[in-house]
Amino acid sequence: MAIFSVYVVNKAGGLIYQLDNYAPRAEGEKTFSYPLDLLLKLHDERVLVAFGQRDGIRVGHAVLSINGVDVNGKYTAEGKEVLEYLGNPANYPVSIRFGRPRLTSNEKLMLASMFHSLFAIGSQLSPEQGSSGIEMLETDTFKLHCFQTLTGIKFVVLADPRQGGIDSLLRKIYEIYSDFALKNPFYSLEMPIRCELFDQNLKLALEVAEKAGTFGPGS
Amino acid sequence: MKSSELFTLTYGALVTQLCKDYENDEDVNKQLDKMGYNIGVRLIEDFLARSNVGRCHDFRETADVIAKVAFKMYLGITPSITNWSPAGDEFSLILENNPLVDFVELPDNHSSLIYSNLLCGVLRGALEMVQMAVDVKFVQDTLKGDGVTEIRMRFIKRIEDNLPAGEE
Repeated sequence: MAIFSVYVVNKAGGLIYQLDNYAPRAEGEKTFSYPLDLLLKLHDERVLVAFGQRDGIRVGHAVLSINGVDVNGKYTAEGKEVLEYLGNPANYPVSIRFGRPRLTSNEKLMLASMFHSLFAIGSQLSPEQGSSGIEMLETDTFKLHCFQTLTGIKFVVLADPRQGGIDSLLRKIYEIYSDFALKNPFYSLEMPIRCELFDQNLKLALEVAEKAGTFGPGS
Repeated sequence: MKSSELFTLTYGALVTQLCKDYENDEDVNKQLDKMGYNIGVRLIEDFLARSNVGRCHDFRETADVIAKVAFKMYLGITPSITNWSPAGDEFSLILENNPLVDFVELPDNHSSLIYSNLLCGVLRGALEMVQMAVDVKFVQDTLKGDGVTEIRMRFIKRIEDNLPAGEE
C-alpha cells in the first residue's frame, strides 16, 4: 500500500471526502496475564501506553481492542472503563491489541482546515504573484501532494516518498470528481461526497497508480 | 458516435414542459437560466479536468477558450468572436448553427421565449466558479428570423471573495 490517504477539501476549507488506504503494521493481538507489564494512561479520550515496550508495542500506541472486540475510546464495547477493566486481576488472562491510534473524523476535519489555512499562507509568502500554493510536503515516512483547481477545490494525496505518478493521479482524481460527484444530480456542491461510484472509481484509480509507480521495500 | 437527436429531443421536451408548467415566456426564460446555471457550476470542473487550460488573465483569453475549446468540446461547434467593445469588456459569439434548435420552429404565441436560454445560464455559472461575474444574453436568434444566433457576453467584475489561495 504505497498510497496512504486521499483528502478532498472544498473552497471554504471543509473536508468533503477522506479515504484511508493503508493497513497499519504491528497490530498483533497479544495475551497478557496480570499484572500488565505496560503502564497505561488516559489521554484525549484514548488509553495509551505511557511506558513499557515489548513485542512491537511502543510508547504512544493505543488500546485498540480487548478480547477481540474493538474499544470505544476509553470505554470497552460494554461500556466499562478500560483502565478499570485492566486493573482488575479477575479479568485476566486478557488479549489486547495495541496499535498506533487512528485519527478520528473530527481530527481529520480540523487537520484539513488547518492545511487549507497553511496553503493560503504559503501562497502569500510567495515572492512572485500567482503562486500555485503548496504542492508537496515531505517527511521521512510520507509525501503529501496537493493540487488546487482553478475553482478552489484541493485534492490531497499522502503517499510513500518513493511512489511516483502522483501528479497524474491527482488529475485523475479531479476527473473522477467531475464525473461521479458532480454529474450526480443528487450531490450538492461543497457538501461531503457520499457517492458509491466515486468511492469505487477512486479506489480503482489508486490501485492503478500504485502498480504503475515505483515501490520500495517495506511498503 | 452518439446521436444528437436524443439531445435535441430531450432539450425540446424540457422546454415544452416548462412552457406548460409556467405558462408565460418570461418565467420559462428564468427557469432555463437557473437550470443552465446549475449545469454550468458543475460543467466547469469537467471542462477544467479534461481540457487542462490554465487561468485566463483577461477577457480576450476567456473568449478564445470559450469559443474554441469549450463550445467545441460540448456542442461540437466553434462560434466566432466579434463586436468587441472599445473597453474590451464585451464581445459577441456568433453561432452559425445551434445543435439545440435543430428542427425547432418557434410558434407565434411564444415570441418572447428565449429557447436556448439554458446556454446563457451555463456560461454564467461556469465563469462564476472561476471568479468572473458576467452577463450573458441572446441578441439575435435564428428561431426568431435573424440570420445568425448571437450571444452577447459582458464582463461585470472579478469576484473577489473566496478567491482560491494564490489568485490575488
